Amino acid sequence: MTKRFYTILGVFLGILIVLFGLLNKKDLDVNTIVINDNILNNFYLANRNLEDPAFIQYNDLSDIQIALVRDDYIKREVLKREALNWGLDKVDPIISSRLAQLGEQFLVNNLPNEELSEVSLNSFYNENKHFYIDDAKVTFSHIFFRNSDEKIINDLTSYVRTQNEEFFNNNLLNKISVFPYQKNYAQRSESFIRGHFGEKTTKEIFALEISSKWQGPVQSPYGFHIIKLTSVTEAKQKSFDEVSDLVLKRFISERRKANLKLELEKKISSYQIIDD
Amino acid sequence: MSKKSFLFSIILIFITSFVSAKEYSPGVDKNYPKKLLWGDTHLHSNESADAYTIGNSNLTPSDAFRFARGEEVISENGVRAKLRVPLDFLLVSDHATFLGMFKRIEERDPKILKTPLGKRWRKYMDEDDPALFTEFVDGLNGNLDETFSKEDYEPIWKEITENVDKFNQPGVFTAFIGYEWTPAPTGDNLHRVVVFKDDAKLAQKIIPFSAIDSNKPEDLWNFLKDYNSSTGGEAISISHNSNISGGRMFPLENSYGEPIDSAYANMRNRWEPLVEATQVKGDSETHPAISPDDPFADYETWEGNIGRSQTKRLIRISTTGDCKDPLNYKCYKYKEKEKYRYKGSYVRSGLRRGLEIEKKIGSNPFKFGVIGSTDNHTALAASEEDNFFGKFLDSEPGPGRVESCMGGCGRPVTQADGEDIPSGDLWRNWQISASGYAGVWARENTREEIFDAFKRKETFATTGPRIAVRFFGGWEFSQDDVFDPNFVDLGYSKGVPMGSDLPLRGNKKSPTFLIMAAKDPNGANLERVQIVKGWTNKDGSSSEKVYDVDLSSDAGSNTVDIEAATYKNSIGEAQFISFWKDPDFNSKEQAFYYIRVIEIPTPRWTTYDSAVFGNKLPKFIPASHQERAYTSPIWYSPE
Repeated sequence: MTKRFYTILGVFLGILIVLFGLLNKKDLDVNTIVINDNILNNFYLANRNLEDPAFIQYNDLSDIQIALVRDDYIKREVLKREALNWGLDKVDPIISSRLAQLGEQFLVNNLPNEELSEVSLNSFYNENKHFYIDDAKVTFSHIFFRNSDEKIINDLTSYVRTQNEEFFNNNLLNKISVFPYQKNYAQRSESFIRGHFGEKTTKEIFALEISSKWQGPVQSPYGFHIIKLTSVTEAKQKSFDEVSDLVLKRFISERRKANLKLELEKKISSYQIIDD
Repeated sequence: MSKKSFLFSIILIFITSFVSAKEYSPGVDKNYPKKLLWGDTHLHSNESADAYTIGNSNLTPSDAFRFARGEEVISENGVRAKLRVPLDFLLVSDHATFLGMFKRIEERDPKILKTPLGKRWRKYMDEDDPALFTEFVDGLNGNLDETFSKEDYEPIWKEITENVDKFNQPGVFTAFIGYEWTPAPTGDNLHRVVVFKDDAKLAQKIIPFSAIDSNKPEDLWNFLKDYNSSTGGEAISISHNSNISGGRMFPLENSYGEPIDSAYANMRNRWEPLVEATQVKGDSETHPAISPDDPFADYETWEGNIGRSQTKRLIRISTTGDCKDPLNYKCYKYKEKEKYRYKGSYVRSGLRRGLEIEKKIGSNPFKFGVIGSTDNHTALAASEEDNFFGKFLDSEPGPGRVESCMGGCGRPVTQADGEDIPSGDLWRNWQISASGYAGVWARENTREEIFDAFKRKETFATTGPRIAVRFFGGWEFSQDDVFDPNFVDLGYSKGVPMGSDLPLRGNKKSPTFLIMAAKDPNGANLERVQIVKGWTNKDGSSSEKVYDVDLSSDAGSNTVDIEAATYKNSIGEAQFISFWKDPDFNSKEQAFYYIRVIEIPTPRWTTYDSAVFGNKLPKFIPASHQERAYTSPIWYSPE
């Protein structure tokens, strides 16, 4: 009975001590500065020039020198804690930004390692094939006419229908105008043509037939064009083998971002957000 | 005549007639620059210390090249980004000061952590010590005594330059090697981008000359000269943000306080042929204080200097209404005694000052051409209003970016320089401008050809749209020339292109010009084409005048629907081809002429943001604006 009583009392007192410790942990942390050789050594190393020929290892310091390091450390800790106590960390945007940056870096560093397999890379490539396409290319010449003459579209349509050189020389030759860019385009990508003719006209040019005859008229933002289209090379899908390096890089980067987002969302969900 | 002489004469006549005959093939002897290439010569990636620390820790120079050549990349804040039309060339110009260092310190590169500064900064990082930012800014301004050694930079510069070479595809896409020299003494911007014509092997023979080496432009030009003479390679500098230079970009005196002389003029013109006239931190063409008669002068103007220091030079014109926000730049101007600073801060007044100095000493130190570029620190060379990825991470697309501040709002306020104007926060992000690009007339898309175009100043600036502009000056152009389909051949054969001096006048009375301006095929129509003329007066002063050369019949109309952020091309013109003869020419006075092309009104990027993200915009942010292009000038000097 007595033995049981003392056992229960002992456990109870133990719980009380632990509870007391836990409840007063914050105060203990704030007001206590723990010093040992390891802490002082780290502080000393972080604040000395290791490249300095006169540098002395912590273990070789005299007692007086160690006492000075100790004083420095205490001073730094007290100032840091007082600053925290006064809430100065909350008013300094650089500290806030830096903490957020460190937090993100910490999350990134602790993300699980991705398992890389041929299968997962292949499947990623298949899902993102659109990144690995060689643009369609086109080769053509064009003659440009400004939109200044109401008759021009009829004359151009007649010429394209008949391909009559005499008609061209008599009615159109003196109406040819200055196109701001080039007269001939050889093996140029769709995006390049878009930069000279605009989106709509580019689509129309790529839809023309390969022919030795003049086609059109095609309207651009500047006026009308008749076009002789020599070739169109269709867009080409690059194979996995051709782009495996790029696929790997994108795969790692995308997964890292996705994992980071998930981790961050998890963290955010553990906070209560109050719109004040 | 002897038989021998007779035969010789016959042969000579035969050869002469053959040589002087008109070539059968029309392409012969007409190797003019016919390709219009678009690019950005001023972009930062995560190798720049400020880009890295303010948030772009992920997007590399490689990402920048991929984006510029038309690939999709993901911006730092996670938005899919792609250009409508790829660029033809790009220079990733990371800051020489601490080039690549922050990234390597963060990654605990053992070589860098062994250096005293690397070790100290790592410690600052570990302890969240704000001294890191202070020392970094001091370093950028050339005020930090300690720095990294050339040996520390060598492997970084090697890695960066070799990577650029990988992206350079002659004929398809040009990747330039270069960097930014970034001094800002007393907070006044003297920054320059350095462009190399050469490949990595040659560029690696130097280590970038930084603001820590010197904050004097003359020292940078000497460095470029030494690079040229010691390696046979070639590099030039391009100044930028004269608008926030506190009047020091186009000065009356050199860096040692001596009046500008011919030696300075020759040196500057040789090594710095171009000025970046427009970019994300505002437009530098002109300012209403310099050009009060120009109704288009107040375009994306900023006040003060880059560091928002020296605020004692400014007065706040109001503190109420739109000007309640101390960060609204429109609410400041230079005090009366500081107004002289405007003249050293803008392209137009710089060109005028150049003429005035030429009249006085016989040499023009400011005979520069112009380009536009972005100066984005996001690795994304995006400057379209509806496809704008901001300057830093905090201005990348998203709700609220309009109200945010560069580098975060709420920096500690400093009153040291100002009387009643707080400095601290640098700028509110609505003020940044979705600008600009460089247009270059070149023979081929190669480093050599584009670099040569830079040197001969056959370049122009746009605030983002790809407006194509041709500009020729001469003495014999006529109205009929604008109807000639061989306009470009005519331009070169009868005159000179943008960036040149007019040919000798002879007995001609007045210079004539041919101009072609065409809209961005994926953008807005054009409202007007103007010639901006500057000239000297008898008393040594200078004047300026803007002439409307061609105007659409509905000029002044505006189709912008602010709520929907749309406009219509039902007004304006697709293309102007114009002839102009100077009606006020005085052959005894120096003059310059350049073209300004103005688009019809379109929504500003903040208006697009409002439609996409639902931001409510304060009234003082312009809802629409008129984007534009500026060409390099053509100069006249009395014979």
